[in-house]
Amino acid sequence: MRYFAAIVSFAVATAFAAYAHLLPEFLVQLRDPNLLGGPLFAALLKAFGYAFVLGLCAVLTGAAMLLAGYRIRLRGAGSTYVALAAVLAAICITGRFGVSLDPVGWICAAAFAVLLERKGRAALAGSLALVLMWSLVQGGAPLAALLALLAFAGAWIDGRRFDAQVREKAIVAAGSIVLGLLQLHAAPWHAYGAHALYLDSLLPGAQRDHLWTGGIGINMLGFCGVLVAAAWYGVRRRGRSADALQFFALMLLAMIDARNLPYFGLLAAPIAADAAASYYVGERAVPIAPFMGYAAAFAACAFTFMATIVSTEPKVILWPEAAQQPAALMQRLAADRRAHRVLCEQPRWCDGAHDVFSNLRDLVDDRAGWADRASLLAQKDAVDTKGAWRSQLARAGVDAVIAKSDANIVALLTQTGWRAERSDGMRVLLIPRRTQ
Amino acid sequence: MKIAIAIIAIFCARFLMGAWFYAGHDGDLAWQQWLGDYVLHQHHLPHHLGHETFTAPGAPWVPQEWAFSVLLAWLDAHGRFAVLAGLSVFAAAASLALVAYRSHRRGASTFATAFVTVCTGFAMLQAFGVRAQIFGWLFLSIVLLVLDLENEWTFLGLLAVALWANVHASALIAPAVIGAWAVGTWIEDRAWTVRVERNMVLAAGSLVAVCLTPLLWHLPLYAVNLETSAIRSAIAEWQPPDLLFPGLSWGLLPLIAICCYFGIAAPRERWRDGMLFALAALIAGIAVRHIPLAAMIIAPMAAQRLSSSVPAHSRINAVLQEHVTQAFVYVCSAFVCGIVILNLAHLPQISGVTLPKKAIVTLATVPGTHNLYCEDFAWCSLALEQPNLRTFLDGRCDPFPARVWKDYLAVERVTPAWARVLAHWNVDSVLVSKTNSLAQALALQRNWHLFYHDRHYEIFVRDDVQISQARVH
Repeated sequence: MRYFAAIVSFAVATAFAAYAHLLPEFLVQLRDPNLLGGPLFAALLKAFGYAFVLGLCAVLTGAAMLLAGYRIRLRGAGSTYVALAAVLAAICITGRFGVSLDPVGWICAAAFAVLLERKGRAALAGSLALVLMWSLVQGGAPLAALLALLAFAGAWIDGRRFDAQVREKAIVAAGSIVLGLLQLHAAPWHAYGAHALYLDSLLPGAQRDHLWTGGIGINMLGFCGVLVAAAWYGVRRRGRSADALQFFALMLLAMIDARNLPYFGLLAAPIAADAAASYYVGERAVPIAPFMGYAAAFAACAFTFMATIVSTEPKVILWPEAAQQPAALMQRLAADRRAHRVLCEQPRWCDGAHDVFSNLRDLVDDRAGWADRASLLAQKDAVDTKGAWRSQLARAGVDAVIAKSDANIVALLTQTGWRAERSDGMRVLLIPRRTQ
Repeated sequence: MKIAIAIIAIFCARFLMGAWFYAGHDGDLAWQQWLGDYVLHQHHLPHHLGHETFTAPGAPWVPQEWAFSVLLAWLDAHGRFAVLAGLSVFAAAASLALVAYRSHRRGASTFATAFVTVCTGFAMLQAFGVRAQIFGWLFLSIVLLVLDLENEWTFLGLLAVALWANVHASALIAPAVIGAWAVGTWIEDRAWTVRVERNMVLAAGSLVAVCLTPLLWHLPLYAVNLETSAIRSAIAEWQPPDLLFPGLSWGLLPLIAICCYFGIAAPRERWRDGMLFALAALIAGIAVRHIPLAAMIIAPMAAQRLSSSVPAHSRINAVLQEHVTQAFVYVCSAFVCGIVILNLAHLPQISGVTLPKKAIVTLATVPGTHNLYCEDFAWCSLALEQPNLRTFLDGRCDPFPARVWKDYLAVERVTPAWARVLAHWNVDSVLVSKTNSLAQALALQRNWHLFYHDRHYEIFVRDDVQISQARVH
């Protein structure tokens, strides 16, 4: 009862604090027919309303944190260390927290990590079922393949022979890789998994969220917090090589793109906290209280913390206020019913343009992994206004540009026959004069 | 240590080539020399910008690198720039040597000491130059050494901090480092012991020591303001690090990974190391210029813990301690040094880079006083010695007010307001790189024309500028 009370109270608090705040990506995910999670959220939105979906995201996030804490509680870590893991994970999540499909990926990752630690056929079957479900609803399933592969490698290193336990890990790894690769190659469900742990952000012209942005930010604090906790005690543990492998793999992923930071928090913070717990081995204890008891305590702490952050620091673009919404510029462009190819200075602004407006085609969107090399190069050169960027844009058929009002491409294009068709205060839509 | 010295020699060769050709890379040396000349002739520090700039004459200025500037001006006046370049190489090499020595003192094995020396060298590589902060590296190494020593020499650290403060404002990190160390000691001892008292006094003393400059308390105030200043977005070395930054990926990151794998604080409850690690991890994420500092702080801890996995009696360490192996390493080191020097001497990125000196001298020949905007503000430092050129913004950068910076960036980033800004400040000449956006934008403007161009640079002048000679190509 306490668990459900905590969930409901958090959902209500979050809905009150953050109502009408929405990630622009959500709009895209909602309309993306290739992603089963999108239609599912759309159906929930239609049937139960926005507050319900917002609450659901909060519940999924809280449950992911609960599972992250439960993972090391099962190893015998005391409540202090579980709380440490929860706090570090919550800080890492804060930067991406909001209404999107991300919480689905977070809870799947946390649950998968718990299942990976279990032995037996039930855990094996559960792991593969979870990866299957994950690959159907959200694009982060390749992470499961990576985690399973590292768990297998760790078990093999620890055992130094191919015993039954290693065989189990091998089966999970093989199954997860198959499912993850199927998702990557968009078959047979055409699910969008091409972001491949956001490794595609390293492509030129691709959307990339940097972990460090100058100064002291929440992402940096979360990342540093986990690093310091790990460095204090060390993640090297006898018989747990997989912990170290997963920690460093996730650390690199977080450094590649900050969108991976929540996964680092949820999966690596428990490892760091468990390292601390294992140092004070005298405080080890087998969990004796009922699961619901722990759940209520952890969920209440985590949810209250996140509700506070969400209420004081909305980190999403306001919607549906038109002045803050790049979709308004898209609507204006699409209104003439002619076909357009649009370049967005931030590839993310073009997310779903083609799905929402049938006459718009973007040059590059958030999913750089799908874009061809010429488009990526044209995007990069045009945004940098370097090289033969004008002819590259012409070759790519770009006849509309959405950029920040003070971007150099705006000044250079308006000098040579383009004009600002509309501005939303922060961004401007440019089109050539002849297309007016 | 012997293997580490062979490694340091290789980095020295790389540093040497960087220092040798550095004058062609960094426009900052021009304003530092100008400042040094000013101090040598006037016998006092300037406290305001003069009429060499037309956007902010009279703006208050804290010339924090005054000692380095005086040394530069004096050596340059005697035709001895090479001495300063050599001193910079020595400072970087000594910093690396002190990292190796601190690792050795902590009982690190030969392999571990060599490994962290390599990592620290990589962390330093990109930031190295004939610059004041390189001497800051040496002073930080000295401070960290006296903290490690924990004996009666500890208070020599205050002298190092005071000297450091006169060379570069990065000295402000010293009180944070010493303070974190002192707090760590206090937690470890769980009482007010002699060592805690000594470290606390040292921390308090370092706060005073950073004020022992002709700038007094203005230096710490300046440094604190700079940490939150908006101008940081325009300065490359103040940008946040990235995984693709070699100094991070090949230098600091392996050190952090070693610490995270083995753990640095718990084995003997070394809160001192834990506190310093936390500080280093935090500052490394703020700006790339902090990466070498973070590496120097973390490296000995990493070496110490790495030695628990690769102990002194392990095979690799035994092999590395054999005379034959050491001789072989030294021969290889000498060979690599030769290759580095020969290769870099002909590398266009090292030896082929030139500053727009000719462009600025050519503009100075045009009669009248000109208001010059430089796309890279450091280039305008070269104009300080030209009496008829006044700069929009130059390499002194810090004292220029926020509104000047805002306008500078509006032009440099070619925002829609760029032409208005140039008109507002009555700029009549603009120095640009040929490949950048601003050159494209100026070429399209009707009231501007190309006055000068060479392989890398172009100068555009406003049409109403009276040019008594033909355009220069």
